[in-house]
Amino acid sequence: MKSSKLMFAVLATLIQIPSLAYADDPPAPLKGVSMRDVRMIPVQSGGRIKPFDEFARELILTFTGNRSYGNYDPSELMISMMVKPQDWSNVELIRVGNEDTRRQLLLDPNRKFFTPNELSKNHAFLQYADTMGPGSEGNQVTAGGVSAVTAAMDPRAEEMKRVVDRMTRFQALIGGQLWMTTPPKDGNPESPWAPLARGMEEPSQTSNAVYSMLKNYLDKDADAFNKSAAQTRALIEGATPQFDQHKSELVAEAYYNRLRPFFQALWFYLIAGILWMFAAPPEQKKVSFVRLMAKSLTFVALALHIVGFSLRCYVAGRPPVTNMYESIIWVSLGVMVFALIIYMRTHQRILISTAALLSGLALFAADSAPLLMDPTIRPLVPVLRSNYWLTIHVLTITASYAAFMLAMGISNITLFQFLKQARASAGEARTAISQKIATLNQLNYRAIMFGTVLIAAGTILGGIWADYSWGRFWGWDPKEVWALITLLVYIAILHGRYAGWVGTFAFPLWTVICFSSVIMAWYGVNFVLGVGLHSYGFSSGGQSTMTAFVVLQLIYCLYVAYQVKGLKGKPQPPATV
Amino acid sequence: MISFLEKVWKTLISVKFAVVVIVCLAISLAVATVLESKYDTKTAQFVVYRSWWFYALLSSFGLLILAVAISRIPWKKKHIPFLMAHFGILMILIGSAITAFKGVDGNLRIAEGEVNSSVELDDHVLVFKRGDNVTSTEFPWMPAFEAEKFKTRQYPEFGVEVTKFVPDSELKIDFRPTSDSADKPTPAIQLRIMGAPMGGSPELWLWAGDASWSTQKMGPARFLIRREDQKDLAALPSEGPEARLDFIVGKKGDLRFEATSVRGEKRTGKIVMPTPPPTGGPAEAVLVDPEWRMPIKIAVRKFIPNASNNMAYVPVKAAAKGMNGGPVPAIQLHVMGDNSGSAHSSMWLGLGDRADLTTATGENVSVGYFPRRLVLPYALRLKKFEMKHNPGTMDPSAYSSHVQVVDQFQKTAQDLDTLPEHEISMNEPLKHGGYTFYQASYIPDFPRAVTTVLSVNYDPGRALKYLGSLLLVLGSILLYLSKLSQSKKKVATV
Repeated sequence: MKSSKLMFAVLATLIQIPSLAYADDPPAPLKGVSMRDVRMIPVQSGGRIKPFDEFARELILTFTGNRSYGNYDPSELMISMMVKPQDWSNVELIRVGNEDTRRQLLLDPNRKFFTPNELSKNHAFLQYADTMGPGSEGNQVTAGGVSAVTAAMDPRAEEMKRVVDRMTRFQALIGGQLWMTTPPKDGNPESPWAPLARGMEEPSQTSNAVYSMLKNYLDKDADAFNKSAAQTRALIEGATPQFDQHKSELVAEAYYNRLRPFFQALWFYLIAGILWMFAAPPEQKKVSFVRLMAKSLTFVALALHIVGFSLRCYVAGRPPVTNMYESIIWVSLGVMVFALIIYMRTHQRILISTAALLSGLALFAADSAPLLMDPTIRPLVPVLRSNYWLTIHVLTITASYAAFMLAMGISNITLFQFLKQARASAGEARTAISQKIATLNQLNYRAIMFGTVLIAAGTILGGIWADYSWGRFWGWDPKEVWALITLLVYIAILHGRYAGWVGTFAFPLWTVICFSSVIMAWYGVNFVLGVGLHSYGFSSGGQSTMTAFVVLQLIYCLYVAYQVKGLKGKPQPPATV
Repeated sequence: MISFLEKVWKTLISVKFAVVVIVCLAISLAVATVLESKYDTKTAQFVVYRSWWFYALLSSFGLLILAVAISRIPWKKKHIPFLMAHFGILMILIGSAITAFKGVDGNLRIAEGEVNSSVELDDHVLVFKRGDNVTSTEFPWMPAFEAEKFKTRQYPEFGVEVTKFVPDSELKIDFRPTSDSADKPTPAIQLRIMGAPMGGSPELWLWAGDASWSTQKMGPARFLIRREDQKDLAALPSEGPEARLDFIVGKKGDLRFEATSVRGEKRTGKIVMPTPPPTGGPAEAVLVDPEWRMPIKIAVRKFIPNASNNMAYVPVKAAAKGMNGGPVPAIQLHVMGDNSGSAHSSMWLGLGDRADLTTATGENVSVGYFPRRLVLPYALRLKKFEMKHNPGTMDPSAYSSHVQVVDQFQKTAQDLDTLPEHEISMNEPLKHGGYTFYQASYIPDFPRAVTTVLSVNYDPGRALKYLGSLLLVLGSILLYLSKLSQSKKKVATV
């Protein structure tokens, strides 16, 4: 409600801003200014205290769909926008992602970014913004205390809503309404802070300091700016309630943002995964350069991954497993850990190679779609505030996804070996491949056993948690049901294998196909079905990518099955595994 | 015969049969979730989760697990992990069956400061009342595709029948001209309020036929319709300072208004509706300016000198959720033997509604369509509802109900405040008298005070489910370890 009121005020004044509908180049960053202090200024935003750097990155993500903008330091970009609002209003900054939405607004359908001025003078847009005012949220209050009405919205309407939000925030930022500069005088950590613009009516030490900092930036006085930035930081830090508690978290968060641990780790993983394929087998005693490289790159990637994971835990005060982005981080770490555990017993390099590639690709997917998978650290909704059960239940379930993902990776390679075998001519080569296949199937079996035990335990733990907080052990909620379906299909594979129905070839084939069930439980329930009590994790988007993945996997399976059929009648490899 | 039984037994204990049942289970569950996404939870429950064939599937699953476990007799030490996992599943299944048939899962709504002991359950009932005789019968819900084939259900004892069922409906109110009771006409008027401070231009109906319809309050303004001879309505006491706009209908069906400002200033005027009556937007309507020193004008969109109230529940899409909590199931009642087609012979009841009817034999019967209720042997009183927000936002971070357990009929108002208080918050339930109370959600400021929604639960199958879970998890871990040691030697190097 608050923000929509603000929006109306802002949009009303907007119409009067005189400007021409053209796009300018963005103002250049100022030379000689240091953002070291600005970055660290504590800001109250999104229900917690965060460093200005994070505040800036979230806003850039809101405006543009990316976490950074050109060669600008995110913090400097915010300062520049507040100091030169007119200039920035003519920069192609605001993302209008959906082509249909652009057509609806009579905008150039081939452009993705538009200037705030273009949008604020667009009558169609203003009308939409008006209809999306109060009341559009609905008043349903669910167990999580969140509105569940938005689940299955039309993508056009959804994008329109986002564009309205982008514009509202942009106007609020340049109007000094967004940056909370003045902590409450009563020292209560739950009281709201006052925005910068309030300093006009009720000047405070902190808002005055910010004003002089902004003025120095406008005057292009780098030295004065750096000095006033340090002063502002000290003042706001001093006024922040319970600053001592937040201090190290703020440092950790700013460091986490600059390090981008997962983004770095993913490249190391991908390179290491490829190198492992070419690394010499361990029987060769001589030191292989490739093997050494692969080993050290894997180590660096894993270290970055673990450091990033720990930093995120520390900043959020909880394990990062509450949305898609966080679960991908955890699952890709799990894939590596399971691969290493099985590797320690079996010394199969193919495991590390597969796992590194899978982790790298998963992290890449998470990093490449920040609009779809929000990397922002957010406070928990009420129903999740029971750290103990949340941690155990969600970590166990998602760990099982990791095991199944590893199994899927291994099985894809097994199928590839079958393909090679079908094309190999000599009997000897075929026997060699058969042996490889037998080993791979053994690894796959272990991964699936791992996953099955974990998903059984995780589903039951979920039942215990649900019993504890909702009062029922099992309620046929779609998320529960898909976890159960996943458990059932893998149990079917294991029993089918035991009964002799699922042979050497069918085993990897079904493993790959059944991974669709994991995708459904993990992604589909929240993004495709969009119903049920797990409404705090709902979102939309990415359906085409996920469908493409599943369809490609099925086509691959069918193709391999078709090719391998030629093997029938020829001597089969012994199915003793 | 023996050989047939042997065959059945062989099938039951074969792993292949188990795989078939597991796959069938998985497929039906997947179908159920798609149904739930496409329609709603109730449809998924009707078609799958609570259908006889799904119970049969689960039972055969349990049966085959039992058979497989028995077939391993004599049990040896190496069977322990296998038996643990399989008996674990069996115990979870039995525990769930006990919960499903003997357990209680409902909602208890208590407004702040009030006492309630009646728990709303998931299923619906028809409650008949004739004299002192009160009977309730189950009236099961069914999805739209079943409701299309709905056959009239007769309740000859009470002289009524249910002719239609709509699983998801919204109440639609419509006033139409009538010639009933011409000596005491019941006029209706449709207003649109222009320039209301809360934005938008809300519309409302006033109808003199019913006390709850004849007056409506909006902020500090009260709107009222009455015939000249309805003196009681003219003397309606005000609730604090209010501005009032009375629409008064004379004997000849003429319309005038009487506006009173908060300060008591009066203004009157005549309203002449154009002929033909306005049909479209407010431009065609007659504007009334009550001069309340607020920029409010009232457009009279429709005036019916003698109107009847036609309420009907019209079907809506199941997924659509309106501001008033979404669609409700509704039934159409019909008085048996009365084929006059008048408003008294058939009527709509939404879930939670009650109607008084006169049967063909002249008896008065009251029929209600309600969720089934369970009355607890004690009551809960909501002393205070507390909500916390994430710093600087309106997002709730936690909410909790401070409740007191009241032994019914034993406490006076003064005693209530001294009763011990219990706090129920998310993940922190209250256990009392076999039932457990969980914080489920809340309804802000409805109808007057904030209302907490507690989920009430009694689960006799809990212990069995927990024990089964423990066995299943431990058993599968042991199974995993034993398979690992068996296969250790077989692994070769790629």
